[in-house]
Amino acid sequence: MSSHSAFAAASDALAACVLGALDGTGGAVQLARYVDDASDTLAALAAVRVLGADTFSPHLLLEGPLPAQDAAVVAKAFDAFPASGASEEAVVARRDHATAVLFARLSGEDTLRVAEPAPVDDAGPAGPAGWAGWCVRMAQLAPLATLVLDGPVHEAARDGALQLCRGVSRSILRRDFPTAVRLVRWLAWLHHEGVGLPLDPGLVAEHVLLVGGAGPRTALDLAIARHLLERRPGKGVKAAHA
Amino acid sequence: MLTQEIALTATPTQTATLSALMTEPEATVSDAPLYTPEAAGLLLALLLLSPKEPKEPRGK
Repeated sequence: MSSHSAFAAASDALAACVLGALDGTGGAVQLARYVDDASDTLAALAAVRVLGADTFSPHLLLEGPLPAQDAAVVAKAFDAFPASGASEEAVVARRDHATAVLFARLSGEDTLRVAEPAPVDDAGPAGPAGWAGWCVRMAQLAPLATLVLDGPVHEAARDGALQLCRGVSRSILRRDFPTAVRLVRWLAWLHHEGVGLPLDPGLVAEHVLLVGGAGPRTALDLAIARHLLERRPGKGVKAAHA
Repeated sequence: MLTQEIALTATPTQTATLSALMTEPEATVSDAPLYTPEAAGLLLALLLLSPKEPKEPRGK
């Protein structure tokens, strides 16, 4: 088994755990137990890094505590895979930073030491890649579309609400449902922030649920989007810079 | 606890794999239905070549 398929399988397994915790069917996420029980510990730690901020979604959306042994596992994942500082990996750096911000908030200790990424290509929808390219990048940054976090990416999302709606429509027409679901998360976040949208995010979420919710990671994205949609707009915890 | 005893460090290849998983691009080949003008000719040919409609039985 190549490391890519091993890491992807571990990410799917962890996503299924988090999804179970989020919809109340699987009990709380026990990261420490998940990593201990995994046959390939490195792949399990990689899964923690791949899901990143989404790992904490049950704690954020359902307001549960983060146990110390689970916090240790997240720190361990950052030790095994050092956070990227390369500018060509801006998306990875942003996601790592978001994970670190949420970790610091939930565990109360800022031990991950992830530097704030430089604002390199936050060019927004009017950048050189056009709105379609920008939407693909926003889809890669979908884990940032959650409570607590707020920063330049979120500012760009507020400015590009129309472009994000276009991006969702485009991905649905291309039948690229994983990308569509990631963009629906941004729509759900914008809805939660009280931003007016030309596309009803509830209807889109229902549509992609019916036609293409394949894979635990996509299902988790959709579950988080639905949680955001069900929360009353504006209600939530205080934002942190990410 | 096992996770505290073993120090694991990923190789650069594994780190690159991780980055690739975190930055999944959109699907390169879209599965959307496309307009194909040739299909119209095919449908027309099938329509012309198809057997006639059966007639209503008369009488009785």
